[in-house]
Amino acid sequence: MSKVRLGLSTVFMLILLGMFSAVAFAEDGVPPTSTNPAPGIHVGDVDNFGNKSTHKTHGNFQNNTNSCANCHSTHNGENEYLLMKDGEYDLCMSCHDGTMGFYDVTKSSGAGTFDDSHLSSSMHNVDSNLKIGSAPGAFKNASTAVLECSSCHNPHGSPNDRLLNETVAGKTFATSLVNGTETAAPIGTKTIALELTEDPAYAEINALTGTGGFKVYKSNGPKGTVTYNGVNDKIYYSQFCGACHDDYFAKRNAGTTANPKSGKPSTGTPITETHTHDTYTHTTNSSSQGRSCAACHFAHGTDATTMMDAIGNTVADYTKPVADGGKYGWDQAKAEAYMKDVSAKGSSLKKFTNTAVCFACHGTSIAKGQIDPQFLDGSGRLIGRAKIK
Amino acid sequence: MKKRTVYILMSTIVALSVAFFAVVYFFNLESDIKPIVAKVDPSAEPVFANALYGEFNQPLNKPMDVTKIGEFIYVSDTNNKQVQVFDQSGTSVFKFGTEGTGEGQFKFPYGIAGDKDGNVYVADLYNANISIFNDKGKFLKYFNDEEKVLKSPGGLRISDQKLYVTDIKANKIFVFDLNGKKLMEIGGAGADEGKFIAPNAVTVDLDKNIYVTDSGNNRVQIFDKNGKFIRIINGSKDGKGDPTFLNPRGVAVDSKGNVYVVNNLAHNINAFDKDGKELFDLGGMGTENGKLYLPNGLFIDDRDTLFVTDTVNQRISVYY
Ligand code: HEC
Ligand code: HEC
Ligand code: HEC
Ligand code: HEC
Ligand code: HEC
Ligand code: HEC
Repeated sequence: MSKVRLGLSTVFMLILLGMFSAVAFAEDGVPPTSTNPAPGIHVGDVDNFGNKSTHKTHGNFQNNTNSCANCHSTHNGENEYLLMKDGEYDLCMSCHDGTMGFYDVTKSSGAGTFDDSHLSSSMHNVDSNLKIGSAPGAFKNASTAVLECSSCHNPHGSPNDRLLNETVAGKTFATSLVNGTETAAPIGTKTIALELTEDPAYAEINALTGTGGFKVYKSNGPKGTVTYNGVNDKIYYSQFCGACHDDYFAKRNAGTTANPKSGKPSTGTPITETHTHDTYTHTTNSSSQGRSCAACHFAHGTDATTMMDAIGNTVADYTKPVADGGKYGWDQAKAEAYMKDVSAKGSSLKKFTNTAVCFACHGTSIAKGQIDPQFLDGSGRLIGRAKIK
Repeated sequence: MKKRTVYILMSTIVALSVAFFAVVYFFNLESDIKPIVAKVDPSAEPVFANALYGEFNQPLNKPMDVTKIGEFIYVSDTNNKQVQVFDQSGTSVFKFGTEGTGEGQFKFPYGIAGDKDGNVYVADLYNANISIFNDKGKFLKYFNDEEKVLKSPGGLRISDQKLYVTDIKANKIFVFDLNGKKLMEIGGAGADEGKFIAPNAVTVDLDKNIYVTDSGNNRVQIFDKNGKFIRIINGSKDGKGDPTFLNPRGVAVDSKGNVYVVNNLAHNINAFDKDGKELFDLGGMGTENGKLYLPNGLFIDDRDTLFVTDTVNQRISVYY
């Protein structure tokens, strides 16, 4: 008798099993979990025979590689440029993160670095939905557009080196005097020329033929040549930065009562907010050494491993083992601690740590005879001075 | 048997089966049971099954490559500078690695692969080394690249006791034995056959042919086991026309010899048969299930399950 009962209960169990499994497999509308991320989106859309479900789209990929398709997926009907809406940084970083071998923007280059993992880093935060109008020193610039790679670069091409935009924060930044009035350079004019040299690290690629003349270049900032209408590219470079940081693009005494800055109330003293930079009084709109943004700042960002000191050394110079011909042989931690920027405002994308750039120029006059001759060049100037644009 | 015992037994069985299906139901494990069913039709193209998202409070951040070692799925969680490990249900079970240049640390963990003992090899593009961990994520040692040839290791696979790695800056692929002895190298910069620009991924098929994604040249090159060039897949008919790939990345071969290539900027995976004839695409740009957004790494396991890293969607999408 007990055997029969066992049999019946087994049947009962099987029925239960069948019921539950039917529920378990048929159910679609499940609460969100890691495999079912969002309401209405469920992983159960695969039918039990493995056939395609309505969610799978046939990705219609381009029939030929044209330059546009490289960044625009045209298969998505409702918005051709959807990709760019919030994925621009990711798009650019799909190639510029080192996986393309060259032009890795997380490594120190003429533009600085977008790596935020080191001591004393600061950068244009292109992945943070910041408004262009939030730029320090923005006075006329009230742009509400988001700061991203394309705020500065035109991925579609540009007459300027490094694809630098001709239009920044909504206007043509490059202006020069035509019959006494500041006039915008015509679109299509090269205004920013950079000092580009073939990068020896990519000699093998640079030696290739059949790549349409493509070369990997290193940059050393604006070239310092006249590009258009008698104006030096260093000035155009400063105008470029000044398109967003308009108040910092100025003459030393701009904003004083003697030289009021148009559109801005003057407070009468150069060392105030009405001036180029709050803390010092230099001209930033000239092509003389030390007078363009590129003299003191990188365009992307900086950190302790990217900045120089007043004699033009970087952390790499201090950590180079003595055995390999290094002069110092410091360990990384020591070198980084030395190069650390202690400024209250942070490292401000600077090329030189702290105010080493000021010392590189002024050092020999403010500390006459006190500087160890080993830090001076042939003409009695600090070695780092030669590295200032 | 006593009546009482029988009843207790029976009710236990009932309770247990209720509990089992309750677990399946409430923890959404259906999809894990499904593969058995999905396998019924082997000729069908793979379909989206589920996605692995990582921990809620620390989701995957730019996952660049994925592999399966034993029953676990290992993901190089690149921007988090770590490896995240998932079980088959998609639960993140543990992770290892911190940011840095020391032992057990990463700067850009990229290619990831396992050996037959379950050890995990992780190539670091920036640190220019390959770290070896045990299956629990304990750092064991660096891969002993005897000739110190590695400059920027990217794609990494281990097959038949050999380690295959692409070097992105050197534009080469290297084959080592697991002791670090270099057995072969292919490449150098260029666009000719057998040359590469920024090779990002490598895989080996059952016949030991070597597939290399030559990202900068928008193609996949296939070599025999001795490194002799066989042919190109670039999406065009017989690989001789203009490429249709846009920054191809992960590459993998299934048990039928079909080749799958991640087409990063087209946000999909293109499948080709043995002879390079295009079969179908998976994915397409989007954030919904089954869609991809700048996908990168690809791994196919021995059951022909496809794992692809979906970088912007911060997940691993699984197809079978
Ligand atoms: C390197 C990536 C890249 C390539 C290649 C590219 N684009 Fe773009 N495109 C972008 C980005 C990023 C934006 C959004 C930012 C902007 O407005 O410049 C954009 C925006 C656009 C827009 C809308 C905004 C505008 O400027 O009016 C159009 C139209 C466009 N692209 C067309 C093209 C065409 C046509 C090509 C091929 C000749 C092309 N793109 C190639 C990245 C690219
Ligand atoms: C498909 C990969 C890819 C993507 C995506 C990509 N780039 Fe590039 N980028 C390249 C390559 C290759 C080069 C070098 C060839 C060249 O100069 O055209 C390059 C060069 C550059 C340069 C230097 C150009 C010069 O003339 O020196 C800039 C600036 C740049 N890219 C910006 C961007 C921006 C901004 C984006 C995103 C909108 C982007 N790239 C997206 C591949 C890419
Ligand atoms: C604030 C403006 C600005 C933004 C934002 C910006 N760039 Fe640049 N970038 C520049 C300038 C200016 C240069 C040239 C600097 C120089 O050589 O002095 C440059 C140079 C480059 C270069 C060449 C670097 C080298 O090796 O010399 C690349 C590549 C590049 N940018 C890509 C990007 C990408 C990708 C992004 C977004 C992630 C981006 N840029 C965002 C201004 C910008
Ligand atoms: C498209 C507008 C734009 C351009 C062009 C631009 N900037 Fe900026 N910049 C910003 C914005 C917005 C911020 C504030 C947000 C941030 O810090 O990321 C900023 C911040 C800065 C900061 C302060 C960073 C900090 O950490 O406090 C410095 C320094 C700077 N920019 C220098 C430059 C230089 C030098 C150039 C020219 C190469 C330049 N900027 C070009 C928009 C711009
Ligand atoms: C002679 C060197 C020098 C030149 C030239 C220069 N800067 Fe600066 N800039 C600095 C220093 C030093 C700081 C940091 C000031 C501080 O820490 O208070 C700074 C800070 C800044 C900041 C951040 C200020 C803040 O309020 O957070 C911005 C933005 C900036 N500079 C933009 C520019 C622009 C744009 C130009 C060109 C038009 C330029 N700078 C030219 C040296 C210079
Ligand atoms: C390229 C060299 C150079 C650099 C870099 C430099 N200066 Fe000067 N500085 C000069 C010269 C030359 C003068 C005198 C002529 C002038 O005022 O333009 C001067 C003048 C000055 C003056 C006197 C201004 C006045 O109103 O007469 C001050 C203060 C000053 N600099 C501070 C700084 C600070 C602070 C820095 C760093 C942010 C700095 N300088 C960077 C070369 C430099």
